[in-house]
Amino acid sequence: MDGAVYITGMGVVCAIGTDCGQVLHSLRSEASGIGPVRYLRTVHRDMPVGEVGMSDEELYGALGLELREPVLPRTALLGMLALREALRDASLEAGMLGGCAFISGTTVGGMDRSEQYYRNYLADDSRDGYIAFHDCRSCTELTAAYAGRFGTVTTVSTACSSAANAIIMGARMIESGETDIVVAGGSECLSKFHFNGFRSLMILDRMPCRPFDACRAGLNLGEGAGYVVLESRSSALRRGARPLAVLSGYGNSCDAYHQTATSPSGEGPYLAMSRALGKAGLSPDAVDYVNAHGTATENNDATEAAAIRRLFGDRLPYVSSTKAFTGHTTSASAGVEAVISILALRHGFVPANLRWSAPMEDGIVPVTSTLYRPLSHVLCNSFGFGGNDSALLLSKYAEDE
Amino acid sequence: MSRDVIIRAVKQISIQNPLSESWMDTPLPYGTEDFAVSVDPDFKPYVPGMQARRMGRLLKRAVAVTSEAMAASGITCPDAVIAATGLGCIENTEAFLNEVCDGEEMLKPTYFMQSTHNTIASALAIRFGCHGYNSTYSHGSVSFESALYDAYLQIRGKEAETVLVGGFDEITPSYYVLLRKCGFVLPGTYVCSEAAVAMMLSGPCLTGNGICRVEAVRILHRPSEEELEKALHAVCGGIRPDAVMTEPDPIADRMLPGVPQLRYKHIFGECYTASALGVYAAAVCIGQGRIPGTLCPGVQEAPDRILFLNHTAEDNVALVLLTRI
Repeated sequence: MDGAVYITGMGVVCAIGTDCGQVLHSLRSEASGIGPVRYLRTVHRDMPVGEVGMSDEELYGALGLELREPVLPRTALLGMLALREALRDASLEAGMLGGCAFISGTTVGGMDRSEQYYRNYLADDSRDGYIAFHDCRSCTELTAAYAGRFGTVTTVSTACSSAANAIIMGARMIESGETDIVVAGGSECLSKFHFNGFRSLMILDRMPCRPFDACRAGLNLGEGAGYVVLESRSSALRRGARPLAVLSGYGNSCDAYHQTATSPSGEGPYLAMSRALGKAGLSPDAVDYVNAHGTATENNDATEAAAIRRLFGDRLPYVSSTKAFTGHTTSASAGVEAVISILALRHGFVPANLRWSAPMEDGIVPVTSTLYRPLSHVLCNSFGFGGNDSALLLSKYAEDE
Repeated sequence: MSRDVIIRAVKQISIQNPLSESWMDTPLPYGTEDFAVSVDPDFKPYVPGMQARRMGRLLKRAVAVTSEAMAASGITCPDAVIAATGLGCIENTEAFLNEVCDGEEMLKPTYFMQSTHNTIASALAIRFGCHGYNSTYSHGSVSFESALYDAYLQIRGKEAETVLVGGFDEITPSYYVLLRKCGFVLPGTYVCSEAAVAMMLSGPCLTGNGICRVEAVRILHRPSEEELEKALHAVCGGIRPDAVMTEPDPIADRMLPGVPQLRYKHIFGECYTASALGVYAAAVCIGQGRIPGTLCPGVQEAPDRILFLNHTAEDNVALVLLTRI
């Protein structure tokens, strides 16, 4: 197990909590975070969202930062909160980060500020301080700098699977032996830009979303951030770090079918999941629970169900989508859901797939109320626009490893 | 872990003659405009007319340059496709942004669908039928090196035998204004330009010739002097490179005294993925066994080892060592 990738810390912020404890409590008490728009500056108030329950000002306060112009992108603020928790959890202090890498996934980046001031940029000089926030790099580096100085920093941008691919790259860096500790995941705030983008694609539900339900009518957008501390076995032993879980496999595959739609056969999702199992050297039987991508769109859930059936046959593991709690946190989703999967492993439960009532044709029947069971292996799916499909296999850490 | 990582082929579409190495001896002038758009090849052989109308120019460039790199390398469907872009399809992004700023009514999804950074890598996967690993890095001026590092680790770690790595950026008149305002492009330095580079990499299993080897890749964030020295030593294996491809930079002056410095941005301009063109230029020099006077006057010897050094305004430092096969 020399190339083993341990997870020695994690941090999360999303609609159901601003730390792991709150998220765990919300999951176990089946309390959804989907509700009416509070902070997003949109005219479309009729579509529910999964907002983090803090304004930008409150986030500044929670971070101990002084609010001043230019106000940092919300993606960076959410990222800082989750990163701080992950580093504390792993007992990593600012002075220790020089040998560590930080890889964050985002697509929206600083778009929440760009969409506020884009017209100012072109018309006058009043908001020029915001221009540099636009590109993805800036949010990643702002987040990283809040914690200290990481030795390597980069950004993955593969739409809704960004955080998964950041975690995969982090694992690869550890397996290569070139880095001992990589903090990876993703952060994404709601923006008018992608909210309207998803709305124009007509894949937003006017009701709280119903993943894998026959009557599902689209997704609810959410926001958040989630990071895991990936660490080599030797480094964890040396530091006396407590492994929370093991990243035992991962898979990435391109559906190569359509820019925004998924293939009916679920080729990309199927390959991503089977590669994750192959990497771990496990058969499908070993998987206890699939934390599905489960956005609740017509297209995704049909494809994902087909891919899960194809991989597992008649012996389906427990399946649920936690997006009915959090909304679709897009680029951050694999970060948020990797943390949820690890909470499930550690506390022995399968989170409920809320609001499910009727099976889809050729679909799967998800777990509809919290199930308390010891779990050994959890497969965490995230699929993005462009067919960027990824799966992470998270396994219980056995004390004798 | 000492598997060779070989650049099999690399092609560019930029402000120089497209899909050509004529810039080595007769670089195209690009006038005195503040920004310069790429010289596009005829896209008809690469993209059917119907499709071409639906594709932005950056996507068309990506398909064309990848087609040529694939043909030159003999690799038709790489195990992995990894793209790098600073701004993605910014023309579509701005178009949708404008619609959102105009009010949030009656929006069409077309621009939004092609606005995400991963549009390019997924369009390439769709076009060439690649179901393998697919990812996109967007980290300012070290986006390309991030993608290259991923490819390098996959080949070394035997996860992939063949990988396409690309660097893609486009510019619009309005975004040029923003890049000027935020200080990314400075007047009197380099022209603000565009890039489309496709690089086919492989492990040692593929037979036939390659252009050069990628010996090491390292990306450092705000490194201390000591960390820089250590990284330089590790990347170069303690052996002095024959040349360093870099823009004027104190690191090269201080840490590699006497090593000839090659320049590329006066030929290719500045954009977030300009470094893709820098690595391309260094690879071509090793492949052709010469350093043209346009990059550095007076260097006669055929280079065996060129260090690519990219030191960004945000204090990220990327090091890539290329060596002769």
